[in-house]
Amino acid sequence: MSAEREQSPDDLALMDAIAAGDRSALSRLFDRHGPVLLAVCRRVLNDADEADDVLVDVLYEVWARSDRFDPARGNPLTYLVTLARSRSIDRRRSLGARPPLRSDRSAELADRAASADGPFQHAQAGEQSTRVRRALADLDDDQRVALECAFFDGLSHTEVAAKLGKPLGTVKTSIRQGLIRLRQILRMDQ
Amino acid sequence: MPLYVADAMDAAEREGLRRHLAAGCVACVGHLAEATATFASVGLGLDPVVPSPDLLRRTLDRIDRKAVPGRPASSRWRWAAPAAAAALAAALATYAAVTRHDRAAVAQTVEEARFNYNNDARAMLLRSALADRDQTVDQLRSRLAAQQQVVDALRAPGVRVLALAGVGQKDASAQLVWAPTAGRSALLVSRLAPPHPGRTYELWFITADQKAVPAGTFTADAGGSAVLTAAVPPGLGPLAVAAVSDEPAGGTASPTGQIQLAGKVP
Repeated sequence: MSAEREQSPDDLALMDAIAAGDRSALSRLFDRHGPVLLAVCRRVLNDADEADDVLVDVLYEVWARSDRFDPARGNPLTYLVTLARSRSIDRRRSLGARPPLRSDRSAELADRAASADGPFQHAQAGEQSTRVRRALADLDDDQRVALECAFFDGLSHTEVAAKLGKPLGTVKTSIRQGLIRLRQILRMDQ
Repeated sequence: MPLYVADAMDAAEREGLRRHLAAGCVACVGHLAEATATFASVGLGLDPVVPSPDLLRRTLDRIDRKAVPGRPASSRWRWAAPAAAAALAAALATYAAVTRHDRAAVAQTVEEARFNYNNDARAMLLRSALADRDQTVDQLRSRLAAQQQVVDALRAPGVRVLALAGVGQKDASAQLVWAPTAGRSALLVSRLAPPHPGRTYELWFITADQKAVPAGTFTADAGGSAVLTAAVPPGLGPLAVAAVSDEPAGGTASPTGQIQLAGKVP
């Protein structure tokens, strides 16, 4: 499943309601997708407080710049995840430090512990993460690492190549093939 | 398009594609949306982290502080489809030259163009969702039909079940439901990795005289499961071995690839 597959009419209706000034719609969006967005912010920033701040920025931008969401360019969840990633990367760069890509699982385990007491209504989001994680695990290591560097570190292909010590062409191929394969797996897993 | 969304294009390539998208190629905008969604999926693999309700309160407080009376409604037509964009441009170009009465009509045209575009965009998403749903329904029907054939094979007189063990993939296993009197068989596969691109798995019936008869090709899903139903060729003769090999897509007339699963008839 790609983010596209998580599309639901309710999400579109919420975005429309937000554009019309309905605060309860923003609250529902927060309840529904806040956990996923905060996970992205934390993963990029590796700092819980900064991640909280960025999530507030993202929610406010969804409200104040509701005209920026265009359903022809993607579904609401894709828009939200892309926005959270982009704003987190911006914040990280403004902080002037790039935390290393986590090679151990300690911080991720901490995230899991933090989410373990979450309400049951987030079980669906947990199932979604499991499905995507399984799909990512099916990629070649080179493909997965290149995609994670590009997504979570916001690195360009030249930066990914330098970071991984791989030829530029190899990195481009890994990213391209990884995304194609990821889409295939998520579709098969639908 | 995957390279574009992952910032893995050279500057010249990127600018060329950006201009192409800005020109309003509907097909490429669709591909872009698809690639963007797949790239965003990378973020969905994280374990969700439940945010404090305080974050919502902080957001609403900020909204209150910056509230603007008479907030305008959404204007989602920056990426207008060509037809809607042309209608808007034409309406706006004539707007200044028409009478007061006509201005109202032109304004209505603009609103209709915007309304139609939003509906078009939503219809495109709904069509995509519907196509996905149809595909899912087809897959479920196909699975149900295969499972019914397995049940039919199990009900046949003289049915036997042969275990196949992993050879190329040690964790893989399978059960062959063998009902030659009914001319039916079914292979139930577990923990077999999906084949590489351009490859497929092929089932073979190998007789006591070492003749390998192709019985059908299949792929495994992301969970490693597969079900293949196959007819038992008339006059096949006693089955000695059932095996699964890794072959080029489309299958082959005789085994050429690595054996992944095999089981001998006791």
